[in-house]
Amino acid sequence: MTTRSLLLRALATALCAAVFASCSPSETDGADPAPNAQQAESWELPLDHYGVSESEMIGANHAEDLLASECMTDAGLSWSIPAIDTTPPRKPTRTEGNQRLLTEEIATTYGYREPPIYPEQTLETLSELASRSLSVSEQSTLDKCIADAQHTLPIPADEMNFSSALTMNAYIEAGHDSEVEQAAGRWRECMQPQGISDLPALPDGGDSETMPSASLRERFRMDRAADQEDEADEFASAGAEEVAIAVADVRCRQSSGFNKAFYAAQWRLQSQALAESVDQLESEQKQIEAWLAQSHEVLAQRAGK
Amino acid sequence: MRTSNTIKRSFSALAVTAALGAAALLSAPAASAAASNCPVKFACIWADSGWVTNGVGSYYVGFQRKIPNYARWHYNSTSISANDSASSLYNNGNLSTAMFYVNANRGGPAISFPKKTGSVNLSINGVNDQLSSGYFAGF
Repeated sequence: MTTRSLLLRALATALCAAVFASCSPSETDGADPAPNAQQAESWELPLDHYGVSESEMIGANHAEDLLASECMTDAGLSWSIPAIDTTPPRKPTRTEGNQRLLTEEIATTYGYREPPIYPEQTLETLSELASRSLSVSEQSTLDKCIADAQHTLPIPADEMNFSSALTMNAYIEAGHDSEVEQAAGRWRECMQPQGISDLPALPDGGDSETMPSASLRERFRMDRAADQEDEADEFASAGAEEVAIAVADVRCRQSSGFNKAFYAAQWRLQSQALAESVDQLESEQKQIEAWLAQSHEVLAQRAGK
Repeated sequence: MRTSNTIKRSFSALAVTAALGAAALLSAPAASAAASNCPVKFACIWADSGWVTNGVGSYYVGFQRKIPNYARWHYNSTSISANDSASSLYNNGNLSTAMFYVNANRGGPAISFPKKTGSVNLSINGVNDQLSSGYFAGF
């Protein structure tokens, strides 16, 4: 059993104690299911350890791309994959569970934006390759090469999205928690001086509009209708007005108790989901880890070439 | 497409678990005829299951890099908003994993679909009518 699996088992046992009073003492001795201060600060949640992180996804996808590229070469076609960091660090604006994190430091640095995961030059190269026009014959060959690569590295597509669906539903439902809604009311009062015409009901959570609102995204040029044309805007630095509103937003989320209530609700709902589905989650995680290990092997074999 | 008898906001991990048990047989590692309506290099969503909107495979919304807010988009040839209405999707890109988020501007958690995979029915994945933005990973 991997370290990750051991940690998951320990957490699941602890959560078993929290959700089901019938768990035997031997299963739960010494376990504390409540998040500690450090976990709360980094917005760590029970399902974070399941599924595939964006960084892991990028590495596994690159391994598949390399196999497809070799297949294309064998077919006499060029499909050259640029070298990338296959274990890029998590964005500072993201939690381990890939949710947006908004602290005062992040708001001051990025406003409501996120830094790109790739350097600009890599992004341009990848973008060019992704949009390259291929003849019908070339595309047909590439499709076959991708299928062959996925046969070599079978993607556990359903498994990787099982925990994501649980996480997504907990996030949405947490937005409907009564304490979260009450805190959101206080957050709205706190945000009134900002004069935002379409202030959402919730700054985060639920499945409706959140922050930044549509009018703010429009004002800060983050959200234009045309596909492809807003690349520079999203990765551009935030202006002073955006930073000021984002910082005020963070402070209001904290002073209103929204962050605390929203985090607690997500922790509770994810704990419940984990306790109910731990066997399936662990079983599927093993398949995911096997896929990632295979992918790493492909990358390692080609690292020196 | 959101309908009164299919929307269920209350959270039930067991329901998702049970549904996903069946999903293993239904995701699409290879494009079916309907999913192939999504142009090569694009990732697409449809308002109904089965990679159709109102029964038509070409009534999709697709992106080549990203759509930060589906609320600004309607399915091709329809007046149906693409926001919180996707019931099936397919990544027909050549390079990257597609990530679909519950809120606009990469807000909230995401589900991920590597290239040439998709979901014929997002209800089975437990995330029907919930997607508000879509991006290729890294973009």
